[in-house]
Amino acid sequence: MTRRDDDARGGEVRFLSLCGMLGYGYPQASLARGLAARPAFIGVDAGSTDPGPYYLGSGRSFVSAMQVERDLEPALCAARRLGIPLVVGSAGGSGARPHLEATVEQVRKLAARHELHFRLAVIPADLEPDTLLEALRDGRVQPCGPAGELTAERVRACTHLVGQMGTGPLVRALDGGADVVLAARCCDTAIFAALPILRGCDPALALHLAKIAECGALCARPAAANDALVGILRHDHFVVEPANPARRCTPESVAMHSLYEQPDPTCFHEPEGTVDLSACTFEPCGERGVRVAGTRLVPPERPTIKVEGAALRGYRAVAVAGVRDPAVIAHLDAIEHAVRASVADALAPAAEPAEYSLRFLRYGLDGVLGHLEPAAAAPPTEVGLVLEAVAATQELADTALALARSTALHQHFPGRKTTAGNLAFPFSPSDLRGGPVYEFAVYHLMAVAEPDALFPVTFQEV
Amino acid sequence: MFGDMVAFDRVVGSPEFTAASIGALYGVAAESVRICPFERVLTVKVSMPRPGASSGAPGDRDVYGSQQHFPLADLEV
Repeated sequence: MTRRDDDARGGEVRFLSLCGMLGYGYPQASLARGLAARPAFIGVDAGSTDPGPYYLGSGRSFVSAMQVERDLEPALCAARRLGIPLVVGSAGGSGARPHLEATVEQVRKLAARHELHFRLAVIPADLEPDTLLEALRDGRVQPCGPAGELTAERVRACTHLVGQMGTGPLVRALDGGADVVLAARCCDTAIFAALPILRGCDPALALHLAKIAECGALCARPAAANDALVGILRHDHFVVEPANPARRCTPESVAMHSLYEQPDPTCFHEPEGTVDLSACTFEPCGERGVRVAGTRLVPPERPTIKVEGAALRGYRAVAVAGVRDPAVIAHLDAIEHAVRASVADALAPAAEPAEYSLRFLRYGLDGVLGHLEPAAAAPPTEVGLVLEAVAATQELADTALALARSTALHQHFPGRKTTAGNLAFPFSPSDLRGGPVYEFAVYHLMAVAEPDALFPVTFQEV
Repeated sequence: MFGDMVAFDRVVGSPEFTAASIGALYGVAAESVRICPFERVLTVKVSMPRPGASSGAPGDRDVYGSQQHFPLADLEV
């Protein structure tokens, strides 16, 4: 750790953020260097809604158990060796009950393997539908962004419902002597701001530092979500520095982080209030660190918790194929039109067109932007076609896709020269079962008098 | 993001760089387009609600919304 920052007073809190997402990995050398900085705790963000609703909806993890174990094992052992807390937030990726339980089980397994004994705090984030329904009736629910008005139907359709806890429950856990904190769905900042707030640090600075630290070395150059960051919180400023000597933070790279995941670089919102960055200064600190000061916190008008839930929308089947024949490429629209009509005819009367949907994604043409793609000057050399069927049952999705795929393969069009097939399939079977498809049905803010009461903390001796 | 203040000022000050023109590019209402200049890092952030399906919902083309910036990059100012 750089020795050039001598502005040390009492009450300094240092911590290590392992990486931007538990399971993404981090160099072992970065962990070692980060530990040499004598952190007061190790924290890691284990979850996100970025990968879409599937993980919350299904209860499955976004990263593999193997990835999580690889990241957790050295960190857990190091934390126990140093006698410092390990704080994991949004456990299991989406932070609902199955996700949390999977992580608890992994931690217990690692503890047994290394004969570790410690106090474990577990904090679930599941909400009873009635809690949200009552808030809805009382007019205490607002959309988070353009999420649309919440209805009771949408609440009941969710497979899991979670609230995103702030620092409060984690502070309670740490105050209760937890050595390892496994929090279910929580604000990314809560993971890294809780212990500093418990120790009396300025909450504004703690939350701002936490917001940067939760992404690991993403605020460094070269940026990396799979590398560690050291945070040092002091009386009236904080310092960030990547653990890896091959990376450095610059005032611009850290200031730039204010743009991450929020529309307005001058502020962001947490349950604790609005964190105002408009007066922040970013200055170099040593050769690879940055010193930040000037963050302010505006308390909220009333306490609010963000609530998330995903609902099942159907089942998916997918086929991937290449198209190289210029004549096929030129007639893709016509082929699609004919395939849709053919599939509708083949499935009737067993299934109406409203019971399933078909998508033709044409990569190389307009797969990414769809109708926003301007007309190309010249046709592409090849097109990657992704056929997708989504239907109320897996069987219907599989059937609709199979019909679409075989029809597309053999579909005639004007100027066709070969009947061998319009599509090049890289796989046998060509059709891949995609499983359940979800949609975020709840993505709202719920005003609640005592938000922390929604997230009970239980302690276990491991 | 811009390499220098001249380019930053030119774009942010351009009559073509408005919520209305950007909204038209993406087929969203001008009122829903948010433009936030951040002079400190010579960057302007443009945010808008997703024009189509929500992230990962049936019909979505881009779960992370990470490849939708090209129409904006192509805007003439």
